[in-house]
Amino acid sequence: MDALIEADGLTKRFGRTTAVDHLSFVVRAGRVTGFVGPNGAGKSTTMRMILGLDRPDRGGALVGGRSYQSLRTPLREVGALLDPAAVHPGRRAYHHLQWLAQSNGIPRARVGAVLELVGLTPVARGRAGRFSLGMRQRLGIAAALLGDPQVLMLDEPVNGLDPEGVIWIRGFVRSLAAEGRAVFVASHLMSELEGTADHLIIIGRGRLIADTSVADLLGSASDGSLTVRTPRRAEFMPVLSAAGATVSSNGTDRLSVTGLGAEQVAKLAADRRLPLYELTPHRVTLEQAYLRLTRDSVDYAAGSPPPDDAGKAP
Amino acid sequence: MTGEFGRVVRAEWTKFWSVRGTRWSLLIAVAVTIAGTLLLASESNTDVTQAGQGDDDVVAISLRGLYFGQLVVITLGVLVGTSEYATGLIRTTFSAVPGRSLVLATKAVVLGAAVAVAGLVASFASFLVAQPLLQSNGYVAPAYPRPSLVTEPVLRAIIGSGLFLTLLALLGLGLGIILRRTGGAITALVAVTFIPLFVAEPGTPLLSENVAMWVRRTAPIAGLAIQQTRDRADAAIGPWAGLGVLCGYVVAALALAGWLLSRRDA
Repeated sequence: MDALIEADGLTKRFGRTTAVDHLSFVVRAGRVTGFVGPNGAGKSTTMRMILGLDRPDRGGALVGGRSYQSLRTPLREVGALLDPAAVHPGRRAYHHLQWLAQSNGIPRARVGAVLELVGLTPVARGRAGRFSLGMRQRLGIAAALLGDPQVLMLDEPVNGLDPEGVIWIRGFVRSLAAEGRAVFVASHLMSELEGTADHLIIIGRGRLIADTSVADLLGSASDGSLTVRTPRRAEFMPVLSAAGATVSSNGTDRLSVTGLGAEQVAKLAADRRLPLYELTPHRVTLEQAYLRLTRDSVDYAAGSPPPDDAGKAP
Repeated sequence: MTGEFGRVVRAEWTKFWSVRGTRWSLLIAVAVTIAGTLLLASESNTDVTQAGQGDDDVVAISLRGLYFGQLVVITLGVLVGTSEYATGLIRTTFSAVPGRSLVLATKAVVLGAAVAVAGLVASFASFLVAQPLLQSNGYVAPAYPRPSLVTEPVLRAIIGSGLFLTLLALLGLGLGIILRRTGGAITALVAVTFIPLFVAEPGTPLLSENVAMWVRRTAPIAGLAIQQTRDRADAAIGPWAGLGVLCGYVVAALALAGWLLSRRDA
């Protein structure tokens, strides 16, 4: 697969704070790459450096093998949504897209096409200052799609969207990747990427914590435990232990069992004619896997919540 | 225009015109220049009993409304530079056009062209509305022959006044980008254009004659010398040299702005 974004040792300091610290990763075509970390982890700063807006103190980034500064029609290569509030409040949505199209020699017909695509056609002549956050988010996505680029970078794209909008954007992001584009989506909430991302770049305090596929992350975070519910807990626990399982109980009829497969647990219960109300493999959500990963990481000392604003750009 | 420069000029042109504030600013600049001229010209009179004497510059008097118009174009110029910083739009601009000097140059072209047209309309109209007023206030031949619009010093003064407004708008753009703060940039520019106007005016007792002369030669308002059509003893600097001084400030401000743009994070 083509590496369409390559970050190589990106480093950015703001005063004494290191916002991004020797960050290297690639974003490949045809999949959604989630870029995850708490607020202030350096996600936006990294995206700004990729777009040539902030100058890295060390390292660099390439888009499609070239530096962003060297692109003559960058909107045809990379579409970015950084800040949905970055529109002139007095300018009509149509004109906002029109000047962007003109600056990159994009045919005027694309303006109408992307407005249609994001569902803003009815308000195309409305001034951006009167748009809700969700509408501005859609306008920003329309701007990102204007040049029909192979690379899309979206910073917190579901912020401010209503539930319908969130579902829309998830499907949209998937379809863009299915068309073979590289989609790079930053979010501070792992749950927003559940079911959307194929691959994850996880950072904390500007440093890379994990560069992993979603399947691998879920697999490694799962401990293979089973949840077992039975009204005759006291009788069943010694049986399971004798069979080699580690059993814990929180005092209700629910047991957590590791070391045995679901088939073996079911057979042990049947042999002793013990009723089972529930027998389920314990599945972790992406959110839980992420929390487990960041808890283990040196970046988040035990017990303390992730920092909120460390490394935040001034 | 084709090529990258043409594309970006078109984009900046769309940006400039698609905001109501800029359209209104240009109209207001023309309106207050004419209104100011009418006000100042109606206050200017010469003693008719001394007809045949006097060296008042009736062309310059008929262009004085520029003092008011310059405030508006300074504000417009500053806003063209700062408003994108206020909204964060500057990042969108630089991700669409990574060449930052190119962005600055095209903003200057668009702003300059628009203000030049408005400035020329304002100065021609001012001259035309002020002349009858001045004549009725005693500025008549033989000391004050009716100035002809198409003679060299008159035409130069009028066109030069339009250029003066254009240059001030560009100075505003440069300072707006340098400071990135609307309030600060407008305050700074009003200070450097208006304070010298008052403290160094011929005949004011605030500064000694030599210092006042030096201020009028070196401050941005030296550009107002382009309005002179008579050789007067209190002329500090020649018309084109004066405009040249203002040009120097504009070039310096835009160069500094371009240098800062290429170095700063957006």
